[in-house]
Amino acid sequence: MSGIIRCENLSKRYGSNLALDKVSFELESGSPIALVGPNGAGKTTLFSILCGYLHPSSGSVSLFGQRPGSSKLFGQVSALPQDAQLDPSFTIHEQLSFYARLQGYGGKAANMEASRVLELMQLTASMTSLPSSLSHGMRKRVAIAQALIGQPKLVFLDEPTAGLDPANARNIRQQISSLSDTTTFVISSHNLEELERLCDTVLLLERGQLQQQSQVKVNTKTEWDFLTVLMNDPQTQELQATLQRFASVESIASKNKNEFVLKYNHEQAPDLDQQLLKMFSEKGWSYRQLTRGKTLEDQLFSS
Amino acid sequence: MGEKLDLLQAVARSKKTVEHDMLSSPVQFLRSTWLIIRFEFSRVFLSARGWMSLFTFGLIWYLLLNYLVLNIATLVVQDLGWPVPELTSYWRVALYLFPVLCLVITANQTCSDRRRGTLRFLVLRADRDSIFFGRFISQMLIQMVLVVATAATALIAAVMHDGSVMWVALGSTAIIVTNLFIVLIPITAMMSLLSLTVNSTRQVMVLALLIWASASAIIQGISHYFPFFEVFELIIPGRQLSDLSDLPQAETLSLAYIPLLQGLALLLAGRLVMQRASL
Repeated sequence: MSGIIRCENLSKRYGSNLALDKVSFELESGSPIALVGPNGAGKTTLFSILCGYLHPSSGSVSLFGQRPGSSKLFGQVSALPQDAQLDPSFTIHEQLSFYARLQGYGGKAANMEASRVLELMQLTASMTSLPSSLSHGMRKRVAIAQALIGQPKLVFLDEPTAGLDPANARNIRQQISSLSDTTTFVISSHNLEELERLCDTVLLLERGQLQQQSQVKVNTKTEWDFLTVLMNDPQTQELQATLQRFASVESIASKNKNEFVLKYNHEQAPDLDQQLLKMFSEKGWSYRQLTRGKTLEDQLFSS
Repeated sequence: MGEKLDLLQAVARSKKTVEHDMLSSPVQFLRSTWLIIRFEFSRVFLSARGWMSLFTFGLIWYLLLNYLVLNIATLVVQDLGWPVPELTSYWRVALYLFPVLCLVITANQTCSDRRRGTLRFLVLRADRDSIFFGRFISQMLIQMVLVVATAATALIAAVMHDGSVMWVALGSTAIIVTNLFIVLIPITAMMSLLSLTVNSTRQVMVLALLIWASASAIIQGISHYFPFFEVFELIIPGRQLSDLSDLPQAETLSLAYIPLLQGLALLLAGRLVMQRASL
């Protein structure tokens, strides 16, 4: 494990608006990292600084020990910038091949690399298409394909599945999972369920500031004192009453009519999950999901 | 003590990094710049849209050559040390045509790519200098292709009219092409700079015309009261064109220092803006 991103007191000001306020963190290579926060929190600004598109107003930032935009990072760091479009004058394969050449590939190798990443995004049939002839979702997948050229060590993905149909969103999640052994992904998204499935580390930005509780590991031992239960049918009162009878259960929070978060003493009842399953079976209650720990949404936003 | 050691190690590491960057960057810069020039060339010479533009330009030039250049040539007296009438006429027309054409064809160096976000894909793989200078050089070379092609048509017309002037005409053509190349440097550089500051091709052209017109008017107005202020006219790209058209062929390069210095200043300013720009 090694620190690949380091930010110290990073601030960015647009006129009188402070988009980032003394953000400091250090991230290591490994599993995908999530960057979350409400609209206007500064996520895209942070991404833009990390990619070298914007210069910070103050503070320092380095990727692999280099400043963002350094030629030493070409081929090592890549990104899916938000809303960026390809050149409308060239086919998508021509453009990706050109990008591969800029990253050091020779002519034939560049063509092959462009074909490879387009195939990863299931776009082989559209290789000779102009960007203007593609749908929004397809253009997004092309933009993700360009981020994967040359198997970079670090990839920033700004809203990678926003606007995609479920099948293509699933394919992108699968690609991220399969490539995460060699590539560290930093993903900005509002889809917390997606981030929960993909990421181990979460950074929460709010009003330009990195929140204290934001850097959390999902499903670590600190989460063992919680179980999240999602039932198929709402049985609020009866279920709550039944759960209260377990001595180890300390509190039950109802998220909605069929979803509950149980706080319990894990040391006292390490097999509470199995007890619950047995109880559901005995009572004939149908459950949809039983999850150890709290959901990412609850970890980040519940008090 | 440990912290001090870490700091020293970090400084040593950063020194090594800088040294390595200095060694690897020129090669990478040249390679990226060359690839960008090739890509921009293919935009004009290998795409259907590019061929359509070239065909349109060729058609317009055919009309200009037949009805303007060659007609003027019949009226031109062999004066001012310009020995071939067709090329004298070509010189007078091209000296004003190409700077105006330059405003149109070089306006979109980076503005559309910046607005669209395409530059964001590029800066992940090429440094900003490569993109800025690659685009500038490619625009200069594309214009030179047009200059050489049009000059060649005037040369052919001259030789067809009088075969004995062939070698003299070749020399004149070389001087004209060199002069036009130098004349176009600051105008193209100005467009490179302006293309970084606004978001559309039309805005770049309007801004260029506004700057040209207002700078001329302001400087002329002030120099009416303070004659020494006239010297500032030299900062306006293309300012030397009227003087240049009156010079004999052999002396045309005597004013080359003006566009060369203007070009250098504008390119340095453009580079600075590119380095600081938010993409």
